[in-house]
Amino acid sequence: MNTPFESRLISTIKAILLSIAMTIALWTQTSPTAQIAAVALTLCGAILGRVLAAKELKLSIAIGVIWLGFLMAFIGPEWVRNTSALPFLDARNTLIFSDCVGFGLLGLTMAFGLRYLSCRWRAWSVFEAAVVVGSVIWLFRQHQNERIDRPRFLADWALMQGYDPTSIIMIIGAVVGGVAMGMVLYQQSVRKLALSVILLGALGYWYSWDQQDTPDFCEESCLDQTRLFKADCLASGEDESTCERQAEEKEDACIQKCEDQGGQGEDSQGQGKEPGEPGTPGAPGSGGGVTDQMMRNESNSSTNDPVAVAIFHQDYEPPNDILYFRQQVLSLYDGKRLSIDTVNEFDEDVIREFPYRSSIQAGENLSEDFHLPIHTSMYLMADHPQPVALTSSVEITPTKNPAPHKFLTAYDVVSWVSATPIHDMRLLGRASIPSDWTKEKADHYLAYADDPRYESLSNELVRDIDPRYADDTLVKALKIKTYLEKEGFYTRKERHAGVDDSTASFLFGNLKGYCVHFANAAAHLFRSQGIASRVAVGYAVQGRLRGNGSAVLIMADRAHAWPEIHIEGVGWVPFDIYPERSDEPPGDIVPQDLESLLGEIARGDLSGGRADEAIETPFEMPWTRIQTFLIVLCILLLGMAYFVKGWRKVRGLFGSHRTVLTYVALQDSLNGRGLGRWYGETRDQHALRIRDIVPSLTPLTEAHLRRQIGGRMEHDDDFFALCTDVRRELRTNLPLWKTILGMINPIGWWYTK
Amino acid sequence: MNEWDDNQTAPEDALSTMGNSMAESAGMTHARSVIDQIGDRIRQDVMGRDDVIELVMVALFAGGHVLLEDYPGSGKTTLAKALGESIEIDESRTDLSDFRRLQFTPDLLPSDITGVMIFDPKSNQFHFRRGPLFAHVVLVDEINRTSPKVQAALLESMAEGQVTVDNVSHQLDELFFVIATQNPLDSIGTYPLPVAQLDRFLFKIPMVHVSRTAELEVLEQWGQPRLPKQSAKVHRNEVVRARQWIRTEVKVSAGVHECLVDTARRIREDERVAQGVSTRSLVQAIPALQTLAVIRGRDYILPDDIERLSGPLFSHRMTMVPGGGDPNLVVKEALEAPMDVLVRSSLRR
Repeated sequence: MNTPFESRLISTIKAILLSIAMTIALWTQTSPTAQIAAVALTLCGAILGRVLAAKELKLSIAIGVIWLGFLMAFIGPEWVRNTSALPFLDARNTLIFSDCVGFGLLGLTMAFGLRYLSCRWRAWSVFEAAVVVGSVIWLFRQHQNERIDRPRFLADWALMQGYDPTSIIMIIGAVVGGVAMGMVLYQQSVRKLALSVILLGALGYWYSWDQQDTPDFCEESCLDQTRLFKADCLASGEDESTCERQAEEKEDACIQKCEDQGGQGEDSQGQGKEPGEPGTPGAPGSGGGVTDQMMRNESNSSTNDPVAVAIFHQDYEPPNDILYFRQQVLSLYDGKRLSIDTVNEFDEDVIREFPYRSSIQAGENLSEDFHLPIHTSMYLMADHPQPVALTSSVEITPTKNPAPHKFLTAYDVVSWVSATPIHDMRLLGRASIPSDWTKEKADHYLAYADDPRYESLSNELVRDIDPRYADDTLVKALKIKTYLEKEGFYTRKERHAGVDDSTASFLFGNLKGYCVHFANAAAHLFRSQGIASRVAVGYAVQGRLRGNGSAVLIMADRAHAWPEIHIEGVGWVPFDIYPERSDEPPGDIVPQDLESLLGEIARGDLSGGRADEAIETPFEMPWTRIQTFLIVLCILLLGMAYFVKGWRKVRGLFGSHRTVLTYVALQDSLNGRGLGRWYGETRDQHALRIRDIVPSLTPLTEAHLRRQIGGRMEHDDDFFALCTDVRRELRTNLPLWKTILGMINPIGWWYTK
Repeated sequence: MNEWDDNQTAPEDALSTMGNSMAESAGMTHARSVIDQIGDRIRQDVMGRDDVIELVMVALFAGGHVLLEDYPGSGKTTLAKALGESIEIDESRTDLSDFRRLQFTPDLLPSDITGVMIFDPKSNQFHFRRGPLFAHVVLVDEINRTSPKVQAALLESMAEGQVTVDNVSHQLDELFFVIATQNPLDSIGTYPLPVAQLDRFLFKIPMVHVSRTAELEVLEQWGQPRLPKQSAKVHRNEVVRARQWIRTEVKVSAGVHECLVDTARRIREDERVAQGVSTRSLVQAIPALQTLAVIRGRDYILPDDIERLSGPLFSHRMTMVPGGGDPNLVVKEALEAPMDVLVRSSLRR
């Protein structure tokens, strides 16, 4: 039932209160820019709601607008994040913009809906109060479970001022409670009182609801693991009830472990966990190993976690049976060691950024004579500062992430891998520094420590080269490589830490060290012989340690550093050192089941190759289809609107009831030009209101009413003459832009009532 | 139609005269001339009260009665007297007078207004001596100051058109019109009229103070000799004939009925209203709307007529819940949707 309209002062206060509520609710949720956008749109929504309620906007239309607004608030941010229509925004600004769209539309719609409904029905003001109280609760419910430091901005301020945060929060709680109680006591009817009490109870329950009851990430992971374990168990032919029982035991144990760790505080979550025992009793068959391995990988932070999966789209056998996945290169000698060149960016062949919307290409072209283009897809499972890709990547393109809960990011890579072994005769007789390199660039790749021992050692190493190849880059490099491989000793126990030049400590010391020392030592020696070199960092996966599928699982312990040398006409060539002596045990065989499982997931089979096992497919919004559908729908609606407009305009020219239909067509024209009848206005009042613009409308309306209501039979000619006058006055008395607007307005007829 | 081309015409005037140019029937012409004649005479005596005069004319020709709620000295008696003097009584009815004024007091008895049976020693019989209600126009001043039994006697005469004395009913004249007044503020020692009795009045008209210009005009004319009336008196039979023509000839569409009924239902369903309007009020609304249509030069009712009369027709017949607010506002809100439906109906084929 309609209520008397509230005063402007009350409306203004309510609009401001809703804006403040939005500010409070978003305080810790988004960026300041999005907050400002949301608050501004909330204010606009509140004003719009009040104005349209005053103009008696139909309830059905208002509800439609509210639904549409919430829908847009839901899909708008996703669309912004996924569309390619905003190429001028980078990743950070896209996120901010999507937040602006999402929270802005949410605030606009919420404020519009609440204000419109409460202006029309007083009972809805209860919900307005509930939103305000709820926003405060939303902010302060973090305080529950004796976390006196939440929200932190308030706790920090209180502690700096010397107050007890608990007291501050208690006072705020009391004020909110007082407002809520006042809201309840203010109600006069039993119905509204009951509504208020229910709302208050709901808010109280929400506040007191223990967030810890929800399954956290750890517990969700347990459920996931149990499901996979059960699938393995069934696949191995075990009895279903046995599998069920074992899965339950496993799940209980896992959840118990989660709870034990959760009791240590959220900050300590994930630490101090024991890796799962491989070969858990009751996990027969090869699949059991996979499950256990996954448990171990997901529940601990050991160094043997899977970090990425590479899917090869072509067959490729590396010349030395090692796949090099490069992430970074160290080429800048900074006075102590080789480091990443962040200043001059000479390493233009290295792609340093993750692709966002479009592909990124490397700046250097490689020769097709010595390289082979290989297409791969990379799915990273751990954070990396730069994209990891099969060396040497020339183009990286974003691709769909088939399992966001498994992979952090996904991209396609085109790599020009080396197609020739390093002892290929075609590599002989080539210089290292191309003639087109600038002096700065050559110096960049030749700089090394100011220590004469490097040059004297390298000179000694290349002294006995056959004179025919005395100046050959490859031969000299091979000599140095051979020296390090024969004399070096691979060990992780010797770290050469605490010295200024760890490379010198290694090279001129006991020659014991690991890949970083070998790579740096080789790079220094290469540079001392005028061979452009650098150190690549990434992962090296040995073919013998992996399975046979197209998926390559990269484990964390495959991290590696290796030297690269530059050969004119060929480009950068991995020139890894393989020490003949080592105290390291052979590397772990990559768990083939896990490799194949993750490979299947990366290929889009979310069951991990277990098609028969129902694994819930996460819902994904078909944005492209929705976009197309909305565009087609808009075009159809627009076409229909113009068709109806045209039909209503011409139907008065023929048939019966010509006078009424012509009058209706004129009303359509008036509506299209913003001169339509307002709700609650009679036809005479409408005609009188706009008679300065259309004076002939008044006698025309009179004649129309005389016919329609008075039942008079009069000559049509006079009526149509008045219609002509009205049309002429519309043309002459209105500015041209309004006339044009009226002509292109497709829905003017909709408001003719 | 020329008057509509003149942009200088005030919208209100234009609205009220809309349709003047159409060909009028003889009955219409007669009814309008009677109404205009009486209206002109009243306006000559009462300045700045055109809106009230219009409602009083509507009530007179619709067969209703009006309750004026106003401050003392605001021209109520002048208005009623001018109305009474505008109607020429039937010479054959020597027992009737054109205008009577009754000042209601707490000690008044019903027989003081209805009449009384008097014993005639000559004929040795009781004869009925007619009271002041036997007149065309009766002004009842301060109706809420007398006892309920006198109020009841008056209201019976208003509703039934008769008075009953000693179980004998005496018919009042067909042209019997009551203008009652009450002071809205000075309510100590009064007997407020219940809603059931207020329902007998067609309109309750809250009179506001006249405008500054009208008040100055009143002061300027004070003390000057009264000019002879420009319009002649109207014979009682002419008024009755005009009434009958209005009731039978002015078209009332089904949409108007629906609008009235829907408005009444919305008023009754409003949570701010404890008691809504009666069906009698809807019945009384029809002749009132017909009369207003004729005053505005039409023989059919438009939504504008309903909008104009809905407040005076319904607002005094409602009982509001405590804190329910202004009944006029409730009526206005309740009318909006049904009236919009009625307005929209004119575009149907």
